[in-house]
Amino acid sequence: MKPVHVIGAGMTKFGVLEEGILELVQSASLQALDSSGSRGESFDHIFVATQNPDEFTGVGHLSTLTADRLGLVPAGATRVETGPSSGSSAFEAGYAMIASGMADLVLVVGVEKMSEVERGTASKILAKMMSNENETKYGATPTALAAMIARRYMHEYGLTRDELSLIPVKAHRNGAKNPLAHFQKEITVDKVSNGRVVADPLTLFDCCPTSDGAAALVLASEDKTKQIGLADEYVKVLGVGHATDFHAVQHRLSMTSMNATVVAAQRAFKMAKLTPKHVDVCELHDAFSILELIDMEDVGLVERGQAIAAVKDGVTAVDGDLPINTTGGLKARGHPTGGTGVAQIYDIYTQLMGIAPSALQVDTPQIGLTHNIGGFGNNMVVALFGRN
Amino acid sequence: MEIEASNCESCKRIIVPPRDICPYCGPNNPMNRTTISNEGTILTFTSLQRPPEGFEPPVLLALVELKGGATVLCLGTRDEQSGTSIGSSVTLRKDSLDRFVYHLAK
Ligand SMILES: [Zn+2]
Repeated sequence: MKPVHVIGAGMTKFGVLEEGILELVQSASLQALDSSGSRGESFDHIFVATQNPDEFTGVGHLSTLTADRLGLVPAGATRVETGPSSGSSAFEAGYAMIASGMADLVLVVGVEKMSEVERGTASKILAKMMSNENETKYGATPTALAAMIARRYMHEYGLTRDELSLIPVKAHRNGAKNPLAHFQKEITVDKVSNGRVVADPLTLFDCCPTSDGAAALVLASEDKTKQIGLADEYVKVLGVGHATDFHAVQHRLSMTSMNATVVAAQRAFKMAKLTPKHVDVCELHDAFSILELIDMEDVGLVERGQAIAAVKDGVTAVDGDLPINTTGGLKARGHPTGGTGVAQIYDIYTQLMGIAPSALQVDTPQIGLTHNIGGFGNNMVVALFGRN
Repeated sequence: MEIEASNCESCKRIIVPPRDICPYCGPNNPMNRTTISNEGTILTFTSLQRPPEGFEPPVLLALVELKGGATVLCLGTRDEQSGTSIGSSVTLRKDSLDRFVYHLAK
């Protein structure tokens, strides 16, 4: 396969925003074009990641719409959907197109505009990624499933409620320093542990918000990178892994591990010829606090049951040995579903380029990892990136 | 009550609800219809305070591992709220909407 570079990235603020879905797409895309000096270049393809714009906004067919809006016609354009991992899946498609030699310059944009509908309607739209027959019909929600996983994890490993609260506390501590984050206010263990219970043992502060926002990447082949005139201002894609798990939680083989993450991570590490020990900075999919701990173990960053010890030791803080979710993660950065995977790569790109917000910049990281969950834990993408 | 299931000849796993294709082994493996006991054990549970429209909070949910081997999501009634814990023995029935409901074994 041919080398693929991330030569530019852009991201809007995440939160409840005034801008419509196409304005968000345009804003993130133009930033990515500008940061790579590729305004005026002719793009071979555009991949648009979005989970359900038709129902959230009434706008559909975002593939051609994006090409037309950005003045990139006749670039090929494809919409990609794998639930909340749509962003990473779109990146994967763009990567494959360049790696195979089919394309030299690809724009990947991930977006969701969720605030135009009521919270109840948003929940109903998001519930479509769960099993109707085995879950939704019972009144289960993603939070209910996460709560059952959290309770089982506590039972198996002795995790306490206050320990679990350290995850959202860290997320908000980092988000408070990220000007693009949905939430920019610190919270305390007490506030998380004693917050309003959504599904016990999880409270409101264990759960990420629904957000508006977009992020974009420009991917290029080696030749195209040179032609645009970029000497070393890019990040290398080292590995990508993608895997599914059984749709309903009840059919999975573990309640405290998500096998799609295990398989996706193994594939990404194998392709990159790296091991978890090589990773310097991570973005993990923390839609619920408990998932960050399980993600750490499933990716192979720590042993089973040891994730919370690493968190308590400060290993996963911005100044720790293995910083995780330096920009706030889904919990504080926010979660516009189709946008999240691309935002994670944006954040790793800024870390590896050394242009993250100064209070969040990790000291010269060499290898970065992104991990993005689709469905409720059943469609995962892991990617590895290297500093040039 | 017996629970409708299917049994994969290849991996021997029991799948509830029954399927034509084994999700674990793929389409090249015969599946047979069977029934299993409605007795099982609670693996984990939650009491959902903010359920979707059409549900009255709290909604008690539990993942129950049946003696036959399959795990199923079940609803619990108000009566079950206080006595439910991981490891509780339960029996299942179906409600009018064809959903599993668990009851703590006496
Ligand atoms: Zn089988």
